Amino acid sequence: MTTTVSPALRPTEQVYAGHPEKKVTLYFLVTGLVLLLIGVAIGPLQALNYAGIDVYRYLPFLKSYYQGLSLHGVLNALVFTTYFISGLLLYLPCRALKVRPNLLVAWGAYWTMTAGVLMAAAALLTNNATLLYTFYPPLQGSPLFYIGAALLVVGSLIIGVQVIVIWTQWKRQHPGEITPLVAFMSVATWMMWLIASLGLVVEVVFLLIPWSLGWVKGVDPLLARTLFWYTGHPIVYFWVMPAYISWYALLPGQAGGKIASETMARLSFVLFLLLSTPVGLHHQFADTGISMSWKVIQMLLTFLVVIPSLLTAFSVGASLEIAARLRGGGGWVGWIRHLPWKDPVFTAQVLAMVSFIPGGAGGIVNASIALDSEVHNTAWIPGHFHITVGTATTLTFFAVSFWLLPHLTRKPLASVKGALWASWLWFWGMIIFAIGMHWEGLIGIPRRTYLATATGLGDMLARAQIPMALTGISGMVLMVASIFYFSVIFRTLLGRQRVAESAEVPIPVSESLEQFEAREAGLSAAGMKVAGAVRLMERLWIFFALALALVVLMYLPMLIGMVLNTHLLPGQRLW
Amino acid sequence: MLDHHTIEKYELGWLVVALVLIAMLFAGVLASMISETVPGFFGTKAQYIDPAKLSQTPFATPGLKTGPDGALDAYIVATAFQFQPNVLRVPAGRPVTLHMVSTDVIHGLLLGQGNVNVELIPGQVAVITKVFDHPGSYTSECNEYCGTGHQTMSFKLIVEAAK
Repeated sequence: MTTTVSPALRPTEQVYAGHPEKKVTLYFLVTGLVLLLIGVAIGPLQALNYAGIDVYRYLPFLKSYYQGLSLHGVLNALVFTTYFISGLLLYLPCRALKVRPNLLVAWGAYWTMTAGVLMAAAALLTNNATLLYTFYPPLQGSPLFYIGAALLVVGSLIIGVQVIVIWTQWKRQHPGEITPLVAFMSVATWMMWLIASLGLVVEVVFLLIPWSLGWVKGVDPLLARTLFWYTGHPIVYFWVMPAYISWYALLPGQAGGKIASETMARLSFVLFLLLSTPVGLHHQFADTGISMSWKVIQMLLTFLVVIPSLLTAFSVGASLEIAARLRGGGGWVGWIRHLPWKDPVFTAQVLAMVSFIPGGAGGIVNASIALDSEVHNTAWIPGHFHITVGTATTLTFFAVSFWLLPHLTRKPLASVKGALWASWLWFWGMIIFAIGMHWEGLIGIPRRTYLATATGLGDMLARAQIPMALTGISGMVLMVASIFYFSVIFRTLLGRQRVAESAEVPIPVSESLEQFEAREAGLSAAGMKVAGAVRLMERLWIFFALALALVVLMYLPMLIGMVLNTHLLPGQRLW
Repeated sequence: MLDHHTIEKYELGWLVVALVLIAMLFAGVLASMISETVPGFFGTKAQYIDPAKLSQTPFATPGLKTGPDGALDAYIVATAFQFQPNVLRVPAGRPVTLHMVSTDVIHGLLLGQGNVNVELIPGQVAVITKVFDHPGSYTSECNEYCGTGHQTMSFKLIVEAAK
């Protein structure tokens, strides 16, 4: 006799039985979110500081504004994103290719990353790495911080290489087949990250770790800075591309429509792979010791990376319009009302995209040498990246968590209303924040300064009353938003109820218009005509090699010059 | 519903529009730089001074100096957590060459006027020639994090009207 166990009572392990990679994915996502919670909790303090209100003096556990800011920046921008992306871009391509990843490798990556984060956290929490997330030498932190940072990146690279290997094997086993869109985009993203992370790895492993351990006497600050920004700009594409994967390949279906054009979607990822890396110099327009010609060339390349983003705006807009018209919408703009605004998965992503419009436009300003000189190192810059990585990416990841956590755990989302409130409040909080900070930046107020106790900015502060108030208010809005968000997430994760396997939230992979038309015409998936461009783009290794060649061309001569002409400086601890 | 060929045609059109916009943007920014809206487009040379040996250079006595030919040179030294001098007076309407250097960690300075925004990497000397046209007093602060006293590292540029 067999006993049937009701779905609600199944032991936990069985949830992952069919797909054990679900568990490691869940660990990546949840660890990332818990660390984000800590980083986000410090956010309102930073915002209040930019409103001229000093809360730090009352906090026994943070020595200074700068320690708080170091934690906020490292946890939110580096740690959360890396965990979330490693989980997401392992799971999605493996499911799309119907391949189970080697779990030992995946767990190895997870624990490498976590060991690194614990080491870095120990240094940060004891005030031994108050370096901000850019850790420019010759400010010198504890070796634990640098080793931890290196392990974090190594963990992500393990996952990246694993996904690329899985795809290469899949290609060998499926000659002539076209890689599913989600897997194609994930592989392109990991290939980009493989090239882009080199700078940071070299900086940390060869310069900073030996120097902080006292094995070498000095480090060249200009060389270290150049290596840092070699990774430091493409890392933002590493943050944005997973969001684009969701917008391109998942959102159209979630909205009830089709992917407008698979060919163009693939093209934009190939462009990202080619152009993302040789652009880091636009963070160094104000640096002396780098020739203007290199700066101008990399400015042009930075402008060119705008193109895949403009393509994305077109494509995603078109797929949403298709969705709305299929849902019965009409008119020039009237269709917008017919989109599923009551679904937080949809709404959070659309708000993320909206924030990316001013975010991207501000990025073009920062990349223009003539305009950058007005805003470099001012409050404008954090204003900019809070509506790009802080909203376009983060709010998209919130949307992903609203379906992916229920999918992985088979626990239903605790509150749809709460998730909607979290999304709207996060969006408006960030918009208000961005208005305040961009405005303060134009007045000339520097970024990341303990403004509440600044002594030399008297007349500027007098002119910045309104934007400073906006920044302070936004911090409070964002605090409420994060309470909504994390309570929905933790109530979901801690919920007892599990749905049956048959009622599992599906992976929302969208159909493309090409596939839809072929299906309508009665063609099978195999019989579908594939565009020549798609076949060409399947050769991702060629584009990888081209991207690598372009980076070598754009960076090697400059780096050789710096290496031949180093000026080593000892470390300083000034906090 | 539009078929995918039509959408792709529109999107290729959009790609061309995007390329044209980017080309115009690049040309516009370059034209602006060539017309010297940003100081230092032409003729900047990388100069390095050992921060430990400033005493053998003009940086030993920071401040504004008038050369024998009447040329104005201002020497500014950044050290945690102060600029020397922390108040610089320059005459309006005359070219002044600013020489700036940091001695310890990275500092930064944005002058309230004239698109001067420099990252001061220890030893790498920033040399910028600039005419300050508008008399007035411009406050600023170190704009690259340099340690606990970063927010107290202030600088004032006073542009004085010609007498």
